Amino acid sequence: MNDSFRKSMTWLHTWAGLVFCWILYFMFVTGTVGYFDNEIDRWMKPEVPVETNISIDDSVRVAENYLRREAPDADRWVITPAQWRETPHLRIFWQGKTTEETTENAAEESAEDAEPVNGNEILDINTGEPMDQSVRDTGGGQTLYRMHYILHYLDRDIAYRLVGVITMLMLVGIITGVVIHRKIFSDFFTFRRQKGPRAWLDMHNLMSISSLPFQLMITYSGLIFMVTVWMPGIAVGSYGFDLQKADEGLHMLVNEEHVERSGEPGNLVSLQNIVEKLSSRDDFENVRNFEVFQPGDTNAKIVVNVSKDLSSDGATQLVFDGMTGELIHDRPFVKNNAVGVAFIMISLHEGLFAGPFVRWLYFFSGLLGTGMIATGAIYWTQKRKVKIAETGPDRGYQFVESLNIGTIVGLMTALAAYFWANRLLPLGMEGRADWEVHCMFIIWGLCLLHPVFRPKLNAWMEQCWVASLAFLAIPIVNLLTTDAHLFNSLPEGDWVLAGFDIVAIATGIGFAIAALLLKNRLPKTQIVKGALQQAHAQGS
Amino acid sequence: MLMYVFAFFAALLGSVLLCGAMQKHHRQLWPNSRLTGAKKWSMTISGYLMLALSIALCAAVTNFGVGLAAFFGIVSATIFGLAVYLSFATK
Amino acid sequence: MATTITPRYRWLVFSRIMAALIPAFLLINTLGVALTLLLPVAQHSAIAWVTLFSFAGYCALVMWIFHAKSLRLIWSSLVIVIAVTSGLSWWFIQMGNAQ
Repeated sequence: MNDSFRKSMTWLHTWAGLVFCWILYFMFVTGTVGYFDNEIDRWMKPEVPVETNISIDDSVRVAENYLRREAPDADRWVITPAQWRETPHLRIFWQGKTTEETTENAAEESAEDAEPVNGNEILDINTGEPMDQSVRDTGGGQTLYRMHYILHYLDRDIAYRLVGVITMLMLVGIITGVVIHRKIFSDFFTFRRQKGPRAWLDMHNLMSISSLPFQLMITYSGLIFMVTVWMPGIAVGSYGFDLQKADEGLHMLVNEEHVERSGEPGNLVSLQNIVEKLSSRDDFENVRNFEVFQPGDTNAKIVVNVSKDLSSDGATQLVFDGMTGELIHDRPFVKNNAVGVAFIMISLHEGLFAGPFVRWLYFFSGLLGTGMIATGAIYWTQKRKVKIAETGPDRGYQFVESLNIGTIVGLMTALAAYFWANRLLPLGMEGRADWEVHCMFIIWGLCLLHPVFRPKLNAWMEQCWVASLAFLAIPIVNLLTTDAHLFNSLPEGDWVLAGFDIVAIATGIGFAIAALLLKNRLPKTQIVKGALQQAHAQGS
Repeated sequence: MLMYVFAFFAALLGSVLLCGAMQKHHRQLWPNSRLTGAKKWSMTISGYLMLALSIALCAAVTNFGVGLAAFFGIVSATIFGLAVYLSFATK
Repeated sequence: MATTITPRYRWLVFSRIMAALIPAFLLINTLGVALTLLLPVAQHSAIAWVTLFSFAGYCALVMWIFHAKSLRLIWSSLVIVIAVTSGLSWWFIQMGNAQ
């Protein structure tokens, strides 16, 4: 659109960045806290006991007993042993028929109604029965983290498409940003302390450049997550729109087990045997889950997925015969290099491989990304301030400024509200988990309305105070409502629970500092505001 | 864990050295020192060496892939911290 | 941004947004399909590689659309490339079916 490539790219960077930046900011905030989803789960479910040092052996024994009793005729079992950070409890899932009773009942009603019945339980390792998690009905960290790609209230299909568009805009934003900022290495540390738009631009550059590898990785891998929603056309078109062929082609990329029933009932080998065979392997510790296909049939197969850190294999897949327990295959899940690259990108995005130190680095990079969006959006308004002072504020400018305040600060208050709701909503409440989320969005809505009625700089300061108080009060609310407070968690050295409260306090202090800084600037800009009104009056 | 901490400080030292090899930032860090050609070279080379050492330390924890991911995280954090320090704590 | 907002400027921007949303996306798909058929590797593997890089291609195409001088150039290039690549793919698939 312009003669110079850089100028066109600046234009594109500005508008591609601005148009959905508030949803992008929401995605960054919820995605970043999502790196601590299991830790947040812990804090939001203080009544659920913590189990440690459960051996794979015990997990499999308990799960096997339960599944043999409750779902002997299922098409598939999945047993995920309690083991790592993201699997704090023994989790089982089954697909297909449950007990014979239900099958019979279903058959009586109508054969067509006999839909496969799926089940999903968390088992208590001591009793072997489903764990009662109903004390405090909560969405936990999982609901929060899922918001960054399903946007919660939207229909899945719409949300995925919208998130895809926004992620694409983010990619355009990053690449154009690199083009604009040519002297990327020599200007690495250019940051000027003066006030005004220049400082915001410098901060925006600094945050973006220092975390550029992370931003590129997180954006491109985000698109790869969406690949079946956004780019199925290439595969389908390549096979001449023959969906069956396309499906076959897709299955050539990975090793998948498809087990047909023989129809003859068979006696499944004890899973303990399999565990015993596995225990001599070097990668025994990396066993992710056990899948049993057609457990009650002579064709039964047992698939053990072993996933290593960041491997292009996806996982190592060990396939055992369900009757004899003999090892049939030992092979990588992924059969294709391109899919291998995609798997590496996806595991980098999820960061499940990260230990505590690397996890904090992920969190910090996420914060830099969040800051990048925020400073970019603020720079847009700052840059126009001078011009606006001459011509009077237009509607677009005020709209952006209000959205900035209500989102950049307001969303953080809403996040605090989500945690407040977890502690304060009555325990027996109907739809409690849903209401936690409603509380979050109601507060965000109020925060979006507030700046419409206030002078903008005052609104910034007031919202910072509110956010600060909301976060500082979290440990207090926690103290008043549960036993999971700092006076217990610190002496016990429970750093997951204590860490949550400490981060809440740090966030609160951060917003208080921001509010104080804004307060210092208030009188000066009120003069500007007076000038603005004058200019506006003259203009109209 | 301890290895990552060493890697962090190696990367920090590397960033400081590379920063010191640039005229403008050299004056910020050491106002009384003059950046000579020899100094510039030795700082650049040792800076890159420290970054390489940081990668090696990261890679030693699990494997090269995870190490590289950790290294990029560490470098983001050190560079951001250093840049903020340079602009706020120096003249 | 220094440009004053005139109806003509609005039209230039609107037309480019439309071009980036619909024909450009279509082009990435038709070009991708043609590439999967032309590349000398197994089809399923070619599909995986092309799909993996399709987002980068889309990004580059969008950047070109917002840089190119004339709307006529943008739209005609998009239409021509879509026509050529989809014709080529059609011909390839027909050949494949005939064998």
